[in-house]
Amino acid sequence: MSDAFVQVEEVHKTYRLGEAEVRALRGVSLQLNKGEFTALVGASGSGKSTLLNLVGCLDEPDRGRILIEGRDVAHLSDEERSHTRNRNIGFIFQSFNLVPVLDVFENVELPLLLHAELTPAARRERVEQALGDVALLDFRRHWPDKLSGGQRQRVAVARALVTQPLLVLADEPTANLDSETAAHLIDLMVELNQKRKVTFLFSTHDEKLMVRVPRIVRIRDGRTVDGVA
Amino acid sequence: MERAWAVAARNLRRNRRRNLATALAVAFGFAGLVLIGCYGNRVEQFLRTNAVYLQHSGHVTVFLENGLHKASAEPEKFQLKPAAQQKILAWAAQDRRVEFAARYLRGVGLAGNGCGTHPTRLLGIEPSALQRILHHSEVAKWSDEIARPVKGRWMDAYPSLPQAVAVSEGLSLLLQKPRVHDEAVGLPPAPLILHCDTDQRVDELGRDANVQLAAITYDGSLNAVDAEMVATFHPSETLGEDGTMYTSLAMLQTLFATDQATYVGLFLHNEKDAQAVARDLTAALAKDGLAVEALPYHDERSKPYYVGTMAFLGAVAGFITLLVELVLALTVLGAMTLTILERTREIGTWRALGFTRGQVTALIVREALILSLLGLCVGLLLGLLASLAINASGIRFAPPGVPGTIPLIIVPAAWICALQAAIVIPGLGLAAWIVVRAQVKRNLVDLLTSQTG
Repeated sequence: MSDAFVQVEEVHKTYRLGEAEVRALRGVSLQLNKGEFTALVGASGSGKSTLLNLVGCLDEPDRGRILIEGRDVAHLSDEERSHTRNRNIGFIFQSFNLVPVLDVFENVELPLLLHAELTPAARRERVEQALGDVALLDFRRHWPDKLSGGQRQRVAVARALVTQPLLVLADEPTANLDSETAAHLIDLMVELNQKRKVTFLFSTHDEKLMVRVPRIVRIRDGRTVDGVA
Repeated sequence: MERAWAVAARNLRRNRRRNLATALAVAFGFAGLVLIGCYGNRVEQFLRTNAVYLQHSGHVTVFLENGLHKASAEPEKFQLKPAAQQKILAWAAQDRRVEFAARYLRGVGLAGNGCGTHPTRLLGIEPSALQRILHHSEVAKWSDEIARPVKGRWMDAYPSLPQAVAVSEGLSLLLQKPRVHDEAVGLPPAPLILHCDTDQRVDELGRDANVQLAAITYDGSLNAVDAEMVATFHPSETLGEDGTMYTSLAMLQTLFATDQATYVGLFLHNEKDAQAVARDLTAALAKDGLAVEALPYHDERSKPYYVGTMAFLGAVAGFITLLVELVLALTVLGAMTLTILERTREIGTWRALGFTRGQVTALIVREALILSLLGLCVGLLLGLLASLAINASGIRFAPPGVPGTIPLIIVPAAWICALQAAIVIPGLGLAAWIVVRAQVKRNLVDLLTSQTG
């Protein structure tokens, strides 16, 4: 039996930009195994973000299937996709996407507010654990705008992990960071991947970071290269 | 969602100047609505008090069947005979909704001063009922000025003067009787034969308060009585200014040589019972073999002026409320549109974290509601302060159809403010919902890749 956790099968996605059609994905297939740490590498416009959006249930493919734990998520209802994102997927965005009116603790706690089964104490415990994992426990009452870029992205990592998801997707998480901070962030993500056995898929075009990543999938012109996937 | 209100409140701090401007717009708009509503309330109370008490109709006016239209033309046939009067009074006495009941006789006749006569509408009132009406708390509260005579004192102040009458101010001028009973005391009496065709007439007529009433009795004879003018007053309707006279019921019955009454007025503890009392009374008396026509005060046949004016005022107030509501909704719509545009990517983030469209919409609509509630609270305060200022300013105005002027008074009422708020809040919430809903329905990737927020 395959250990595949995420299966992307012949996925196509085309965008319309005014009169023009942009074929972002042209039959991509990809398999992610449980606990795997994978980098999706490609030039700007190669289709990395589109693939992450589809795997993250943020968008729907035109053709093909995306299976998470064997379940086709490509055509779920909006409510079901929201639920899937909240319970199974963590997101780390290039621009951190922290909510400015919430402090660090509240930002990390945010996705847990939808977990009605958790008591406030259990929620607090989870948030503190996630902040501890990214070494930001002492900053829990700080506002996002008082943090450095690296700290903000660590908050985003904590927020992605706090729901104990099966999969974490990170779209160019190091793009807004200096190279040293970016390297630290990748190291942190790899460490958390090993510690928590969470599947990571992140996109980057920074070749310098490749040495730190166990698995690399290259994408070009909407297709994975040479069947590496 | 837990803590949604707290998050919404915090979000309002993000663009304080815009939110302050929006809240102030809501506040001023709502203050205007409060003033309009409370003024409308004051006018309604004023007109209702006039219609019920000062026009001596009661909350329910009970005629013999068809008596409303035919009692004047065929009084012998369509007025209430003593037995019918007693049946109505007995029913009223046992019904706890009725505060008191009074019999009235209406008629037309001639008022004379010894030199000439003028047609006048006559209303015979039971003195005890007159006393209750004039001292009624509703009258004191809403129509105190109108209830006061222009000159003199009402007939109930002269229990030993059975011929005491009150004359409308216009009629007293026509009769050239400038003095009422109290003012004429001690003046030299007018000559027995007046010099009507000379300049002395004015002086002679003005020396006393004596007038004569003449009318055709129900059996067709001409009858006349002497009367003493103890008060002049402005009737509650302009139309009656030049020809209205109030007498005691007994005096008018003597003039018309009858023991009948035109109608019985039922004065209730609560005006909301008027319809039910009218219905119950009609049914009860029908069982007793007496067919009556009981009209509540808001029946157009009985009180066309009150009903018509209230309908007009209601339409005007409703239209203004609608306009203000529309402007407020557009204000909130504009503010929320900017808010949403600025936070497009943030909305995408909420959605990406698993919040449904409905949850994100509810979160942002909460912001609009908090903003609106803040505006309403400030607006309420502004409205109350403005009403205090208006009441203290002593502005007077002439309401349509009412002789003379009355003070412009705004009477704040909790239920009016609550009603206005109940109209405004859903409207503003709906405006916010329309804007937010359109935004959260956008493609999630578009939201997340937006250049704003």
